[in-house]
Amino acid sequence: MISDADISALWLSIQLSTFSTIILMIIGTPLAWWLSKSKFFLKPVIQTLISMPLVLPPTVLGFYLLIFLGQNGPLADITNFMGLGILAFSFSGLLIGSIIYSLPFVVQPIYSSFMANGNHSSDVAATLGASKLDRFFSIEVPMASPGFITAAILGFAHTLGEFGVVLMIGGNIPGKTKVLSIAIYDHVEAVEYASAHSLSAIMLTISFVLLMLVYFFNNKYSHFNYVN
Amino acid sequence: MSIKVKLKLVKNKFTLDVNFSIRENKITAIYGKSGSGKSTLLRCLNGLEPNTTGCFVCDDTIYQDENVFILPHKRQIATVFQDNNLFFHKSVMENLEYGYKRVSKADIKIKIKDIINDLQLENLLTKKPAMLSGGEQSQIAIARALLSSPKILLLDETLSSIDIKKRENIIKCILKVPQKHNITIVFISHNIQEVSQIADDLVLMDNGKIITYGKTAKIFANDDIYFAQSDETSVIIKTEVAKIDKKYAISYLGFSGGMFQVARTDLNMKQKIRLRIVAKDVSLATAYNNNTSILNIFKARVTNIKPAGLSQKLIKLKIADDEIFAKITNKSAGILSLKINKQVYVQIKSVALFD
Repeated sequence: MISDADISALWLSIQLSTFSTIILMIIGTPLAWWLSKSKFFLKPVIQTLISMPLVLPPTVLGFYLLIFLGQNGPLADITNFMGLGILAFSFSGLLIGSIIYSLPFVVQPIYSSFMANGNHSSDVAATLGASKLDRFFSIEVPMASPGFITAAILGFAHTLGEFGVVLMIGGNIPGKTKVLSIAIYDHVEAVEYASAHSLSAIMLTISFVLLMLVYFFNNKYSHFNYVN
Repeated sequence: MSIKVKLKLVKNKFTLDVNFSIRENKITAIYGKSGSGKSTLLRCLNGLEPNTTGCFVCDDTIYQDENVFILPHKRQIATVFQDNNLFFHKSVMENLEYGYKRVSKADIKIKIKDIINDLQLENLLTKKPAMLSGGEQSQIAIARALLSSPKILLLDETLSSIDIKKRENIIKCILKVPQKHNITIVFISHNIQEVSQIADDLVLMDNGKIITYGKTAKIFANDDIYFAQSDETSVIIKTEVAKIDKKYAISYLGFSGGMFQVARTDLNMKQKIRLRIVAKDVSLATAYNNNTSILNIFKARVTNIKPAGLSQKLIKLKIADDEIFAKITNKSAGILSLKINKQVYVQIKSVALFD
């Protein structure tokens, strides 16, 4: 019931989600930290931009990415110059699309954790001799760890489930850009319901388990925000 | 050896503008109504308010002046805040180690082992802060602050959250700190009893400004200070144990005007004891009265008489070199025909003892 092509699509989805999550955590952490501390007057604009994928139809996002990264797009010259070639219809293109698409799901939980913890503990640590960087790693990040776990799981799960962006920017190239959600769509189109069922069940299970992990962690770490 | 503070901060329509000095390696209390800017002052001292202007200098260390602003983590000014002091993701032991690990070995003044023993913290070490009571959390926060071997320790109403039994133990420990480890302690309090018990010096604050500052006993004896008008009016008299009478279980405490008799036998000869005497516990008589249960009767001279409310007067008296207040009704003052320089006998009903 599950063909080699399906396995390859599943594997591609997992690879895409993994790389996206890693890159999102690296970009999202400083971004969320900056947002939680900054009083910059344009902060709401930046927050809006980050949150756009929450409301925008994925096809719109995918369409713009296709325009920008495609053959005649304004970014094509740059990616060509960097030796990356044309990113549309490539795994790198998918990765960029996924990162933008899942950014709010990663930034928001980390931002909320930083906000909930406030500056107090960091102030205490400062009077005990810890520098700013020291405080970030010894106090702020560990205290925000529930937010990080939620962010990583949501980022991973959300990328795993994306369809519209991937279809627009990646096309449907088996083994290269054909991810699980597209494979399911193809099976339905071809009236291969048994295969669609199997793959959908896999997606359902993975999504359920991942979301359940988020809620388990959230409940377990709720004491982190303990206030006297 | 003094620390000079002349700082100004305008924040959220509140202006803090202070100018005072405190003695190094002593315990200073900052006393004032809530909203008088005490906590803000502490935040200026430890460097957490970067918009503070002015200067803050301690001997050869400049924390702040026109050109310098030392960041909080380099000031060696540990602070115990009013609440939420502990790092909730770390165990008690990890909390204690936090500042300790960040001190260079040569600068370590207090060892972890010693503080665990002194404050009896053995049973708490593996616990997470969320499992501790508020008082225990404050205790750990004080221990952790001391372990960062600071030059100055700031306590923001920390003692009031600790239950009486443990508080005595912590106070004993804190009283030793300045001399033993060269640490200046500045604490905020709104508890006169606490201030009279541990503060060498006192800074009185109101509305972001300093009303007065100096030695605690001197400020207590100043009848111009606003709390001279309150129920808390009291004086502090420094005494030394001179004699212990085992038969009656009474100790004699010597001071400039004679000996106080107190119902205690657990004191040591020559031990220095602070007495706090509240004005309303002092009564006056024009003649020596033998027929009374009051043991502490001294000859005194009236030095000042001030109205205290509608029906009372605050009488300031001198017993040899020490001063004392009595709060009596206007009627009694009339009957005794009190006047400045009149000789009277003060009868002291009760004293609070701080050993």
